[in-house]
Amino acid sequence: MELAQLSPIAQSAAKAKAITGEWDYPGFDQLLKELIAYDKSMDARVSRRKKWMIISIILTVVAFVAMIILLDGADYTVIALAVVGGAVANLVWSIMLWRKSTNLALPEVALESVHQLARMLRQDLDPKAKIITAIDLSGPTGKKKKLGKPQQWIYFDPWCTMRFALRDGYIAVVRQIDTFTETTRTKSNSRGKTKSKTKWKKQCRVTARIIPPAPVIWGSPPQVDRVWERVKVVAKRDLSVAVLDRWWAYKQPTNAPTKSPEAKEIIGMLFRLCAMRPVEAK
Amino acid sequence: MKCQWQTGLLSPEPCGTLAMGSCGTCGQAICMAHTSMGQGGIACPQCASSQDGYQQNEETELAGARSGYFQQYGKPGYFTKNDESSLNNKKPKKDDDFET
Repeated sequence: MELAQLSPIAQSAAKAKAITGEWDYPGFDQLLKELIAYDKSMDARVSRRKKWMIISIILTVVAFVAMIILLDGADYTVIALAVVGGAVANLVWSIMLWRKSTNLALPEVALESVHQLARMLRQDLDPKAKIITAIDLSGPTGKKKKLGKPQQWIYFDPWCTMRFALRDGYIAVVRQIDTFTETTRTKSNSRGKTKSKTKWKKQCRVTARIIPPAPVIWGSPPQVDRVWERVKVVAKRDLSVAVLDRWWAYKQPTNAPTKSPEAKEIIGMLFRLCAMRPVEAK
Repeated sequence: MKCQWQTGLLSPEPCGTLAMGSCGTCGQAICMAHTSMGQGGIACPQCASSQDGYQQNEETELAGARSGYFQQYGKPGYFTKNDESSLNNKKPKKDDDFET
């Protein structure tokens, strides 16, 4: 699927790599479906271009070897240089195309998670209210170096805030912040040879909030995992808001982990917070 | 008679549209939209999600998810573990994988 085949809203979302605004459920669902389909076609394109780039690298090496052989006989100098020049140009072109397509790709796991979350909550939504989103799909931007050994870089990605008005008047807010830690260890042996190893760690923090329409007395707190979760009631203006925080950690060598909390786990958090509502609201 | 199927996950409400029949397993009145046909006859989304021989759709998927949450976390408002200390704003335990 090409960018031009998307609806204007989806086109602008894919270009900006952001889904920001107020949506009714059918519109939001359609937008996410389009973006997921576009991302799948982009992934296929990235993999095709990667294959072509690898073939181009091999062809360039073969052309160099051929040039060395052909240069022995002076008659073929022009042909040899032309072949190598063509191979190098092809390689540069394939790398440029590959990099361009990787820049256009969207984070598939994040899109799927948001889509699934909205789909599972659709019956709970107030039909008159809108879903308010501030979703940034451009990936982590801030880079903060941590001093000391091993060298560590920390990237923050507060990519998702969604606000759903429920049909009983309560408002559910979901916020996700991802923190990436890149750790590089460098070792040198006695002969002066240096080796470095990179490890990635991703920590996802999801905060689920339930905001009541009027001051309420919350019921018993839900069951929580003491290590990874914490539940609290915080005062915000005249209201007391029920908040459940949860952390996830993923590790991966070489590249940043792409895993993300599943929608059903986030809904589980909202489900437990909703259980704290006073009886008349349920 | 109106459809008795409770729609939604977080704020369940009865469907309320005109019922066309009743679930062959649990007996609750269900409308056309919440009817699943299968080997065991007519079934509500909840019974269809828990029995073999029924085609799964969005309604049965939601019903299955809801019963999964009930099993995992208890029925809303009826948690047996009344753990007041978890409302104390304490940070979770420190862990190697866990820096905030």
